[in-house]
Amino acid sequence: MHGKSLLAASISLMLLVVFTPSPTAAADWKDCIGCHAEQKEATRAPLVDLMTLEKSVHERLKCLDCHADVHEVKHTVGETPHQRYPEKVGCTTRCHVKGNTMGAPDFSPMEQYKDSVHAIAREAGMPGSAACTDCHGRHNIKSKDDPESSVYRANIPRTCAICHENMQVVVKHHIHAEKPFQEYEQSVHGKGLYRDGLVQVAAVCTDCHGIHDIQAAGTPGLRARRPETCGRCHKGIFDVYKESVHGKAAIEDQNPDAPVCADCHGEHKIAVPSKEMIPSICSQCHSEEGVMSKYEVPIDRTGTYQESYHGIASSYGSKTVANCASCHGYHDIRPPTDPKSSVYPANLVRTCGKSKCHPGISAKVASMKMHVDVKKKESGGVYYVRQFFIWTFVALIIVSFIWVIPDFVRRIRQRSAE
Amino acid sequence: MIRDDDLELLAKAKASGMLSDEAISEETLVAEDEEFVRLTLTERIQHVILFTSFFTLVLTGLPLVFSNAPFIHKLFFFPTSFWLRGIIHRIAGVTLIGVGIFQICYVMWSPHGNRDFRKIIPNPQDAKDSINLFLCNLGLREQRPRFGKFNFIEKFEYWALAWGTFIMALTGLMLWFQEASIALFPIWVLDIVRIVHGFEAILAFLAIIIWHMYNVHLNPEVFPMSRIWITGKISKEEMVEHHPLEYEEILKERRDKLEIERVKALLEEVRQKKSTEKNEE
Repeated sequence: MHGKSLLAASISLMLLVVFTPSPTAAADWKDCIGCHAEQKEATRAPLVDLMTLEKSVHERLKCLDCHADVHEVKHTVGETPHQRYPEKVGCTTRCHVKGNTMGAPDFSPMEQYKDSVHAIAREAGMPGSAACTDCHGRHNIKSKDDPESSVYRANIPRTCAICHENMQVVVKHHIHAEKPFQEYEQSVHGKGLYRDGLVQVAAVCTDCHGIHDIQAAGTPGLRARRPETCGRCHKGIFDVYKESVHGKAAIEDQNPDAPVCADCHGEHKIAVPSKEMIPSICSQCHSEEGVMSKYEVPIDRTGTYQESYHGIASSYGSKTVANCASCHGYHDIRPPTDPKSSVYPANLVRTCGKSKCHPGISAKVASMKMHVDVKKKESGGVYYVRQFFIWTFVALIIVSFIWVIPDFVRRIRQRSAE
Repeated sequence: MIRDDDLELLAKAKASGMLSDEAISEETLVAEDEEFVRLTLTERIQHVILFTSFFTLVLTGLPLVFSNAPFIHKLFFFPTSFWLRGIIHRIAGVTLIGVGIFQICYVMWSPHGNRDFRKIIPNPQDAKDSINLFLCNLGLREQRPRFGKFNFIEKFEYWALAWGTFIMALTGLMLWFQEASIALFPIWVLDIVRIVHGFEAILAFLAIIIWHMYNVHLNPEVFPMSRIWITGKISKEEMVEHHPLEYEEILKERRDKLEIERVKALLEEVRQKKSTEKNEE
């Protein structure tokens, strides 16, 4: 970031040309090109690519419209034209404000930027934090609808990645995501954008994080963690989710324990969770005593699943056996007491009897106990059968040793006697 | 009908010492290097199919019993491997059930199988034998108990295997056709069936590893392996040592047979003598 601010400053310097300091003088960029249009050893004036300026949205603007403080700098032809670097360009001082006279787009999001993590960081004394030019560019500023713009939808992930994929930046500012761009590239959204060219459809950084009002990870009600954010595109799923036990808790009760989209699908590496991964995804919460005890949900659900045939087969990579979602559903998970739930006893015939699972299963399955922990006494018959076998093993081994050892000794003796 | 001539003949034979125990020595009945059939070819084939399917079942079932062992997971490295495990397990299961059914038919209808089956049925003598052998092992008895064709250990292994196979086949089929099981049996049965199938498998495996491996592989008398399962034969010495009652039975059988033959020969001889005497007259 330091390097970048230096670069920004030096680019600003490039625009300064030989002219008489006069605040009212409407200096054309032609006044500046004397020094900045070509590399001049003597002045060390930085080069400004005129072509870049001409192609930008600011092609009609004059250098001094942005580099306003150059007027305050002493200029003498033949000498070092300005004695100090001009201050940084302020996009929102004159132009991009409400009611500006320049006809510039009214930059009301400036109000939002003020509260963003980037603006707060700048105020807190981190000048490297992203400001207008870091995302929009400098001389090359183009409309967001221009495919060459750094803020064109398809280019946004790479623009953000300039800082957010830089490990030094990530470490220095303790940024929560370390490789967001690499992860994004592998996500359904990244593939949709880069592989399938779904520029208007595939979500980019700003769709979830906001544009100017980007907030820090951990902010309550963070936009990227709000189901509504995903629901703007994934409307059908959102409608199902908001009726589920998780959705009601997350949206209606604003319960921070309730899983939102990102908890199951991941953050930047958003994907359809693979079947083998589902039990471990659910167990993030459902094996946590601290979380589950609040809602009186037993924590042995994943453990008993893993010991079941379904769980064991799944752990060996079987794709056909049931995982959590096969029975409980994905977005429409409801408690077993809810008659609409796929695991409501009366619905088990349909849930278990799916054509690919146990077609034609008996209606008796409704009274079947799932998630039975054979190691617990409360499980009844199975517990005692298991105990019986365990004691049989112990007895078998003890009796065998009592038998085998003297027998072995006798045979050895007999052999040596012969 | 016994004629006076025959009685006379028997009296003569007895008088000449032909029917006394000493008349027929053990050597004439059993050659020194004679080998006795312990397992017929059918039985050996059954045994090979049995242990092949048994160990296939154990190996393909282990991943389910020890599902937490990471090294077993490494074996399932290709996508359909777990499916294949199930297929192999079922093929081996059907094979084992097949051997079991064959064994039932074999002991019911084959004369040899039926005769041996009668000998393998446990009786009170086996309990006495086991106590006596244990005392003998501890050095509290001088004389080892004398066994017939099947000693109590062999009987126990046979019945343990038969019981185990029955349980495993039954529970295995119930798990295989679980939709039918749920429809046919109370709902808790299937939970128990799953536990039984898993634990009985461990029990059967332990029993085989401990008892059978000890008896036919590790015990100092046969180490590294008894060859009976290949040759089906047992030497005279082993016979006398391990199955003295069976040996005595064989001796008695042969002795009776020989006695009858000798008497018959004598009878023939006497008759011929008589007819020549008549002709001369």
